Amino acid sequence: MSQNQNHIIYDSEQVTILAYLKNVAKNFSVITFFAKTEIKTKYVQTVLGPLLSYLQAIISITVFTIFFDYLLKVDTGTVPYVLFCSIGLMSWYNFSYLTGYGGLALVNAQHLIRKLTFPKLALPLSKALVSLFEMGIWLSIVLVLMIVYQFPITYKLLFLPIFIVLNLIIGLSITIWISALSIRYRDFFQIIPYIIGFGMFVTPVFYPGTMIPEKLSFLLFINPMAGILECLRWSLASGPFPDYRYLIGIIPIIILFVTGILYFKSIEHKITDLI
Amino acid sequence: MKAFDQNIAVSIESVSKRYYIVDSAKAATIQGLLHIKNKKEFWALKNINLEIKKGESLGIIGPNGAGKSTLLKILSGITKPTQGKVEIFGKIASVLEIGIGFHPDLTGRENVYLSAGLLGFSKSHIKAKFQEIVDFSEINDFIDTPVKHYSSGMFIRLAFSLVSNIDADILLFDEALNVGDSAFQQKSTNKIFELIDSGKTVIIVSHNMNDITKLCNRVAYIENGEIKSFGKPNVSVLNYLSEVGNKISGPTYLATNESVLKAINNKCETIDVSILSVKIFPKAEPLRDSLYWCDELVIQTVFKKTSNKLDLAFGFNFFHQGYLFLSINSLEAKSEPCTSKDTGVYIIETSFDSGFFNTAHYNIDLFVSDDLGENTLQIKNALFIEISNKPDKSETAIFRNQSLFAGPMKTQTKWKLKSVDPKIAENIPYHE
Repeated sequence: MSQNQNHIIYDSEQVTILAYLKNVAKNFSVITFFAKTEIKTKYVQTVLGPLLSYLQAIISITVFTIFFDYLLKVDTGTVPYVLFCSIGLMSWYNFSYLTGYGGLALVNAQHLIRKLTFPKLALPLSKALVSLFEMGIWLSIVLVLMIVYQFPITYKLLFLPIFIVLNLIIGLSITIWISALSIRYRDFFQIIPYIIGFGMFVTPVFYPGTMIPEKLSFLLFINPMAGILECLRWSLASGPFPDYRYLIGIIPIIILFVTGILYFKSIEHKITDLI
Repeated sequence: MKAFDQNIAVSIESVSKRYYIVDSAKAATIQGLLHIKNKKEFWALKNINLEIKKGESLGIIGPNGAGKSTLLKILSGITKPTQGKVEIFGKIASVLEIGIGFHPDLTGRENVYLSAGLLGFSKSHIKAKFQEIVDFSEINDFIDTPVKHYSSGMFIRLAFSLVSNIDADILLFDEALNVGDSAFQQKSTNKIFELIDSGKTVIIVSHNMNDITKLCNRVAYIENGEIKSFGKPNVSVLNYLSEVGNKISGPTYLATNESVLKAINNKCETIDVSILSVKIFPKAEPLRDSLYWCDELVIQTVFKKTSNKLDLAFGFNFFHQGYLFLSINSLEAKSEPCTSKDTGVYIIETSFDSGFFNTAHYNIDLFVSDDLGENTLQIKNALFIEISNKPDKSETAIFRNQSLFAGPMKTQTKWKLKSVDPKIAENIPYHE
């Protein structure tokens, strides 16, 4: 009887993590609300609509190709540079969008938090949905390039969803922590754009990881984004199988993700009062 | 156990809510690092117990900062109680702010679907209700226009229409009733009546006592986080209003304070008069310090006239709960004109029957003007009186409360009861 959907109890008791996640899942409509609103408003009063996102992607790819392929002649082996950097940018922009906007998710929605009931975790999660939508646009470009350059469609493509989820988890693990901490400390908003901007250079987004000297290769292995890029290139562009040492970067991220959710849950009930 | 009572919609069991008065993030961090604990706490709600039955409409009233909104926030699950427990039986929709979640750039249609999702209703559910929502809001032609182009009235109409038509079992409204123009206000009030009649439970926080007494069948008056009174709307509203009245005007006084007189006399140079005293008393027993209904009352004003140029007129304005309700002046006196051009000290007595006053509080302003009406001297709240029933009169508490709330006036009426022959019941003469 007390588990009836229409019987709600509010008290000072803490819920279990399982019940918490169940409640988040039950409120999937709220997550999609935030995501849909953001996507819809992005193209409001534009003529081109989603074509704009394609245009932005194509311009970025063109600029990077001109600089690093035509002028600097970065060697990407058998993979054409256009495809190489498209995969890199697809992954990196997803990460930078998620950490850049996701951290602000709670603070920007504080008027809603004060007046509405929903699991606050929906806010950073909705950013993941939006970033996934953007990633879809990039992925369609990558697939077109694969066909143009006659890359074979192999079994490796089956792993793509796993890598995309992993890409989201890397972004989310940081986003969830930042959005939770930002309730009290907004210092992070100033720092994050620098880290993202700087991170793009130490991550093999527009150059292959092999360009990093062997002595410094630990820099790659502790960088989870470097690992996920190798995985994506392996899956989409017949890149080499990723070095197992990339797990050094990815395992901590999984831990960060899990603890982030636990921390978020522990402060969830205080968010309304503190924000 | 209460949980098994089918008739209860909301049960609030000893709910308390504590807030900390927060310092800036910097100060808090430094204190946190140094393990200094000097959190100041503040209890917004203290041990609230309420039970709301299905189909009931509860009004919550009280001054600003009393804890009304905190209670609504706890009921809608936005914030957790520090102690105690709230149980809700049924689908709840809370409207702490009308139009919350509406995005200005999206069309009315998109906003209805999206924000219904935010309130926890599925798309198919809204699809079935959509036409109803649009019809009620009367904005058919504009439903596909971005809401930023709506007038504020249209925006609010759509938002109210959404929440009142989505078929929740329990609705919470925080000051969301006076929306739109007066025609739509009437419509929204009727809608709430309709919701109550159809068995919905409605909880309303409002500062509009008319709405509260009209719409609610029970009212909780909250102050300082505690329930001061809970019961029939008239009783709670009255308790609240008299509390407010006491706070604003303090205790009653039957004579004007001397220092007030002094200040007024010093300030007023344009009119050649100084008021020496103003007091009110019952004619029958001038020394009694309470005024009873139907007493003949006398206001006695002593003044000194310092020039013989012009004549003076005296008047009194009576206020009931801040509204002017009666104005009398010496120029309209029934007796012979009471005027004198000569200088000197005078006593002017104004007498009237108090039978048409209600048993309530009244503020009385005094004004004196020269007979050209050009210069006036005014004493705001010269007197603050309470008319009460004679103590020996039998009265039930509820009648006293009703009459106190019923307005500024009352009159002496005669009531007669007699039995008649049923055969002539159709043809009873007006008078015997």
